[in-house]
Amino acid sequence: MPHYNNSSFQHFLDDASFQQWVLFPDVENAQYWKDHYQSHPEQQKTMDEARNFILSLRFKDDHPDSEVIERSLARALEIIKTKESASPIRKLKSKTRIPAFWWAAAALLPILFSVWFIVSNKSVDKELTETDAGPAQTTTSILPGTDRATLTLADGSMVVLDTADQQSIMGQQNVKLISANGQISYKATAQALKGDEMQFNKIVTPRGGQYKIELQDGTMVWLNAASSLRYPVAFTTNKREVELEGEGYFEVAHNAAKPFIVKLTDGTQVTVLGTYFNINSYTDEKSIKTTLIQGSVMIAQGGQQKMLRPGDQAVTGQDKFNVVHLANTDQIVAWKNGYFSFNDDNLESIMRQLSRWYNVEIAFPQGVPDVLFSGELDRNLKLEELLEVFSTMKINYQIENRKLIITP
Amino acid sequence: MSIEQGLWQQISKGNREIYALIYRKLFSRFYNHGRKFTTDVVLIEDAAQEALILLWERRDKLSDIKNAETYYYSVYRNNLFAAIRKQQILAGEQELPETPEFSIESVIIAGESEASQSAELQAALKALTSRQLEAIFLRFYEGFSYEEVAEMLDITVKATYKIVARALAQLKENMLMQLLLCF
Repeated sequence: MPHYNNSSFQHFLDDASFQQWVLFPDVENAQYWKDHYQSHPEQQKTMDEARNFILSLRFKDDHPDSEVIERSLARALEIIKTKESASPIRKLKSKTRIPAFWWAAAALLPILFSVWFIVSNKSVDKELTETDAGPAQTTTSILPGTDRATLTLADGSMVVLDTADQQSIMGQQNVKLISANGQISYKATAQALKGDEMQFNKIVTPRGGQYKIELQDGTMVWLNAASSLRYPVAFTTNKREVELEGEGYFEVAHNAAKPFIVKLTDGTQVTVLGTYFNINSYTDEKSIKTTLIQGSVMIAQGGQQKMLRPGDQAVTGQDKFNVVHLANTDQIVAWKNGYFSFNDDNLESIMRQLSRWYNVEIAFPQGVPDVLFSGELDRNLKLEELLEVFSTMKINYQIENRKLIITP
Repeated sequence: MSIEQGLWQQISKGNREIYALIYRKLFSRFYNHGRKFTTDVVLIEDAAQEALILLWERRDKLSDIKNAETYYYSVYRNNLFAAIRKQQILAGEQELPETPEFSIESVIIAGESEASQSAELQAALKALTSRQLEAIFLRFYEGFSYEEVAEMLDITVKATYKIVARALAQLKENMLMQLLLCF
């Protein structure tokens, strides 16, 4: 009959530290139990038996195949992406900004009665949600922008890119080009990086277009409407240089050996190592705004250089080079996530954005109404649907062909 | 800061690549656990996926959770058990157990070839409750501490020690019989 001390066997069995040593040994508990084993020879047999017993309790391995794991991961990421770009957000708040002189005028002119109403409340925050009334039927509906761009290859030939087809544009400089679903990707073969003379491609988005580019090094660039990016097919030198016009959001692949530099038409250079940032450099905007989301960049313009930290925005322009810190960068990259985001923006600035995305001209025949707007709007609405929201705030509009006329 | 902590911190900052890594690791573990209770893999995958998506959605609260791994393991476990229970109700089963049954087939007593896992041993395992089997699985296989197991099973630490101790004692009793019978 097996001879051992019953209670001591159970004692080892139930000891958490003993269990840990048997199943998941680490430096500490191994040392402790080894010492214990050696200094208690009379317990060795019991310890061995307890150890064997614990080790004998096993479970079947039911871990999933990697295929199953990857499928689940892909699905989860899809769901997350869908949830994050959210349903059409149609809340808009307007604030009428009241210039001082209206106080005086109000009492004199009865026509300004409605204005006086507002004036007495100083400023009015009206929160409005889109009604389900829907836009009036127009014969020419103005659709939002889509994934559209034109690609110019090194040899000068042009290719039209749109979501319709998956195109495989043949290897220039040993780099394969695949275009599908609003994105063009540059996949380099091993040969590609052998210091050949660099060839450049240029992508141009029209008004009403947007496109996404995956550069040869893995850097992702989202190009907004009416913009362009000129870049080498393969980054063969010790610098990665691209040229931007308009607006682009960059997620730069990390490569400490090759700094990534974005050159703008006014000579400003944005240097990065590996990072996420947005550059808004439309020529019809007052200044160029480079906003850093993550990582670090250095901006150089007109002989000055400044480093940015996440949340910083560099505002550059003629004789201007300031850095401000933004509490929230969501608004800056809203476009890339599919919506417009306004924060006390005036109508002019809002209409400029709409005109690029919807490819319409804007006219304010009676001057620009003095109102500020805050809120968010889905970028994928038809123009009429979007304007319906504004019209409930006493902004009137009329669409003639591709001209948007705004009146108070 | 340990690497583990560093990874969780990256996730709370919104790093999708790191999230994907953790996703794969946890999904695999949850799946393995789930298979001890059901063969319906769709149920398991859904429960696991739900918990892991929730992890991402609440990533900015990660630092508030003492132990994110056991927390979301619990979330997945609750999802799965609720789904199994629902399935059982819809199937019209009477007398539903508190928690789904831990499959005895997934327990292997090493040293015994499957063929010779004797009737006595089977009986011994059947005599253990699902809770005991799961507690042993979580402690001995997953490596959770008694405190963590207690949290997941929603019982006191003391109760956890008792459950495991009793289970082991019972099994030992039976294996002892086996050894005796062999001689």
